[in-house]
Amino acid sequence: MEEPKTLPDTSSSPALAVHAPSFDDPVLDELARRMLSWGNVWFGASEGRETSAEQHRVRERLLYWVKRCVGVKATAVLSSHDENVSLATSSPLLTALLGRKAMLELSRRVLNDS
Amino acid sequence: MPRAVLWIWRVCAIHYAIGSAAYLHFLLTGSYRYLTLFFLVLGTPFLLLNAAAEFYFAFECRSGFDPDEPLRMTWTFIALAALARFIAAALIFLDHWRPSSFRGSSSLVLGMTLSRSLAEIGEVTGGPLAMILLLIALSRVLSVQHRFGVLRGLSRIDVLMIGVIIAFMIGEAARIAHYLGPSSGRPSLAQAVLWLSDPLLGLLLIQAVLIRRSVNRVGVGLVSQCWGTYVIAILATLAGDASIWATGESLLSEPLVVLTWYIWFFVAAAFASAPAYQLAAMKLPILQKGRVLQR
Repeated sequence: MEEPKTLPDTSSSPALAVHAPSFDDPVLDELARRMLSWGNVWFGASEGRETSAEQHRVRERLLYWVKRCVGVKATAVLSSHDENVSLATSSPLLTALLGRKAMLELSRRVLNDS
Repeated sequence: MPRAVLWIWRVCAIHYAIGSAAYLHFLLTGSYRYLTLFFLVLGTPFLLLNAAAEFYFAFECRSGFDPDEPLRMTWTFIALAALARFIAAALIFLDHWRPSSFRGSSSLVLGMTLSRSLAEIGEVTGGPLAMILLLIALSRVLSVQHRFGVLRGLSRIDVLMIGVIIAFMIGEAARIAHYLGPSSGRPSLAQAVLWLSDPLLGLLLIQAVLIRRSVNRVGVGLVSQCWGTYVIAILATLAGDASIWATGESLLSEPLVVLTWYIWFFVAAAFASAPAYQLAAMKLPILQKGRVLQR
């Protein structure tokens, strides 16, 4: 029996313009697009690749929190360039210094702040 | 600056303002009357309040970490160090007030017996015991910082500072060995434990140098200010310890000796404000969310 193909409501997810591989199935296309979007938000944009406005905002918010909570030069510990700082690279340090509970809230702030 | 830290230093400033009036009175008249009153009535409660605040903030920080997170143990030990300082201040406070409280009462014998031991237990608890607990806590912080690359190679100044501290520790060990020579009597247990203060302070200073290095590397932020404030507190403790040594060696004049007593209020305020910075960093995302919701 075929189950209905539905996606969970992710209205709070950042809307990102990225190129996903094309599938014949529109649901898979949508899923791939969202996976890529979240991948870019989580890992940061790869080098030489343009970032969307939303990705830029997410990175700016992340940098604000890292600098505010840890230290203004803390991003240098994570990467030689601020552009390479992402949730993936900063999470281990932030979780170690602030704890999982605070990191969870901080991630929410980074992703959903308006 | 977090609100809690601001309040700690505001209260400290008011305390120093009142204390300076008592000191001025002492300088002008040579009388210890108001000075004694200040240290007994306001001084010890100030130390108790700051130790209690440090314990509360450290305990709150501890509850922000899950049991399997490395910094939970750090904050447990810092909370215990604060508790040790609180107990020490309470015991010394009781010791100061004991003669007048027990005077003429049926508990006089008990009061006289406990007199010396209360002060000694207080000195050991607030000194070497609190230092050991802080030493364990900071070792864990350094290990976490090293794991994440926050702590890297030492500069020449760092190496020089550590060298000076080690030389100081060796010098102290030599003095103790000299003191324990054949002509000296058998020291009490409390006295022997108190001799550990200087080597422990030396180890804390080495940790302070390493933490200072990591603070420089990450720049000013709430977490770095927390550890930076611990460095300041340890350095101030060293200043207080050095002043006790200088007093013992009769190197300071009477007004200067009295002035050095005020160092311990700064030490207490610094120890209390350090975990307040960490707590502010941990609560900040939640607080900012609250502010947004209130709008």
